[in-house]
Amino acid sequence: MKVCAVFNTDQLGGAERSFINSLADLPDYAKVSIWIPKLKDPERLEQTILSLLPKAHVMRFKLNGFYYRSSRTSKFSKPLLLLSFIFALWRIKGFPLKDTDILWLNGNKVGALFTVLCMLRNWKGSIWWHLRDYFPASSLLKRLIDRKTPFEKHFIANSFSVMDDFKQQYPWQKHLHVLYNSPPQVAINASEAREFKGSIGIASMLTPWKGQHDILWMAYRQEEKLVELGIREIILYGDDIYLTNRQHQNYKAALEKIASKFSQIKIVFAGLKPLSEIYSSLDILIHSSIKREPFGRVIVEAMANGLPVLSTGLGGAGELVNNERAFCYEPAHDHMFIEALESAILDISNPVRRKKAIQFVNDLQKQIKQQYSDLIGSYIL
Amino acid sequence: MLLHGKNVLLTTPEYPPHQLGGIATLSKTIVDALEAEGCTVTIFVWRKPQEVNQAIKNFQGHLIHAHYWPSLWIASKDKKRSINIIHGAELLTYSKNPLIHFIKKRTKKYSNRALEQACANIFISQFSLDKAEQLGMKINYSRDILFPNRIDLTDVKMTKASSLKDSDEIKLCCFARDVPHKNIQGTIYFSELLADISKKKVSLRLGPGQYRSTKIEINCEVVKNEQRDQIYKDSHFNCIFSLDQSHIGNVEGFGLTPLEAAKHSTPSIGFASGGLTESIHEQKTGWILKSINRDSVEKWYREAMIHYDDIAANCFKHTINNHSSSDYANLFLGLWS
Repeated sequence: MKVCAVFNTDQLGGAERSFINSLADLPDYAKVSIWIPKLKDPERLEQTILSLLPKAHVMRFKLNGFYYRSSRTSKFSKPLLLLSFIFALWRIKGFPLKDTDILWLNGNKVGALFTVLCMLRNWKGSIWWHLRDYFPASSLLKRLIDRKTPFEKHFIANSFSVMDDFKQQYPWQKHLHVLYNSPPQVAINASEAREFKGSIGIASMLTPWKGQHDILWMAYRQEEKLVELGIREIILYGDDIYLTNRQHQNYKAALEKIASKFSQIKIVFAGLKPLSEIYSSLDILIHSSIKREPFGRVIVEAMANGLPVLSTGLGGAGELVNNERAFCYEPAHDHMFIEALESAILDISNPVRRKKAIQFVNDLQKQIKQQYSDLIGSYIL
Repeated sequence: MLLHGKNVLLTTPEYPPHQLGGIATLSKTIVDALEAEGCTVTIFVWRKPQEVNQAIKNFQGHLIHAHYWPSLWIASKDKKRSINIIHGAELLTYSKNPLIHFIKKRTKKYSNRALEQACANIFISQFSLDKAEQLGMKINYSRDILFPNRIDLTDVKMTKASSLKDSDEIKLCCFARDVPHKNIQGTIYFSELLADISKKKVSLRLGPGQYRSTKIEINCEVVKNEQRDQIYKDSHFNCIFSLDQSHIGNVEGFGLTPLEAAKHSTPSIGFASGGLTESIHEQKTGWILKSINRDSVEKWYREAMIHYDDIAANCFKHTINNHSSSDYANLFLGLWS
């Protein structure tokens, strides 16, 4: 089985870490070639791939950044997108597909691009289009997906929420699978009591739908109460890692402005840091997405590292959190947020929910093994 | 007294008792909350937004606009000290008059610029914030803040919700104006289906209007404000099936009645329309239906019979803990610091 795995971006985010883990779990008889689009700086992603897959053959292919930015501009979106798509297609015209059995595409940008490439080349194989996000309602994409092709199209959603959403748009698509993002191994003692040092934080890209502003505003309004709870600092890990326009512009500046209002609690913009540093620095992780989260990899990572998790539980994240193993709150609900923090702080020294969270991560690993086996099985059949 | 010594001018198109509605209720709630914390509040009720210029001419202090239209007419220096409350529908450019509709569309960028100059814009729902962005406003998250509606919860106590299982009658209420997007006919249809499915007597308390049904009992006598609380208390469910008619200028930005009903442990049922899903938290403080038909109402009724007591208790607790008007003090203190 020859698998050609194509990353959607050259930046290392949750989707990319999950993809690397999935590739590592492919059966031994699968021969994998890995392709990264050369956009900004693929070094970090490439190093991470090689650290987990030392025998991997990692290659780069040229792609224009404008293809990513054009879908997020407000005016003339469609014509610009089409133009950038055609240019991107021209760029990848020589992409080697010979003898490839499975083309595993880790996102919509490469999904659409390579599907058209395969159609033009009359390629016969199997495309695995990995849905890392809710599928956009687009007439162009609809025409592409509904079109009859010489190759099979499999759609892999990273949560049941994403799959259900896709099914609503494409109820006649046959090959739909769910493959949860694989969590890291649990490396801590579930019963170990810890000390709360006063650091809470968020680890995700800096973009409005991830809700960092919501946390800062609630924390600012309730600063006195947070100080009483022992919170000294709020650390924001992450950056605007994807090439985007509109919503994300000036977002970090807005966050910095809110941060400047605090008088007692320190707000730290820590940028991109290794996972080990993030999970050792924080006492509590906040998953603050204010829109549906396709999965929420950071939730399971934090759980596996023994951190209490606060979450809005929207979308796919709702399949990971509940009040037994995490601490749920609603966006812009100050008192729910404070209550969740209070309970999470208590759980650090008396880890009732932590044990359930760790059990959940172990169960999730088994569930993912089964999902993966079903996916490979469907290809072989 | 967090806001002692602060001088505030609140401008609004509606204020009780002369005018009633969501904006009137919100205006009064904010005024009461600010005064409770030591603020001196002057209220200016306008018929035309331009009138506000006279009111703020010699006013030294903070400005709050319960409806943002005056922001389009005041000077830049006054825009900069203004806080606008954004509900949703007032952002839309639709007008029945094609010429006015055309002018509104063409001048939308100017109203967006007015909002962008404000000290702060308080959006009562994420839906309204998203709508503003869709309509071209440049959102700045240090200025444009989501703050769901609050209500006065002074002296509110937990009352036992009217038992659903033991009752031979299901009591519904729906306090909404008789305008198309409030979907009163849809509410009546829902009630009729419920009567059919439950085999119980269903009564529906509406606002004033001409409504009839052969399957349910409808009461649409004029309701005084003092009577509303009792009606909520006696009802099993509050209905709010507002439609999203953004294309003709009507949409529910948040929906206050679910909070008003929850104050009396009465859960709400609504549509996934506008900001309603932020007022009613599905299966936590009420239910959201995708459509009104026999299947969906039957499915909902089965769930309601099992979970009613929990949801009734939840909606009360959630509202008490998260939607108290006393939160406005912290909000405005933070913005004025």
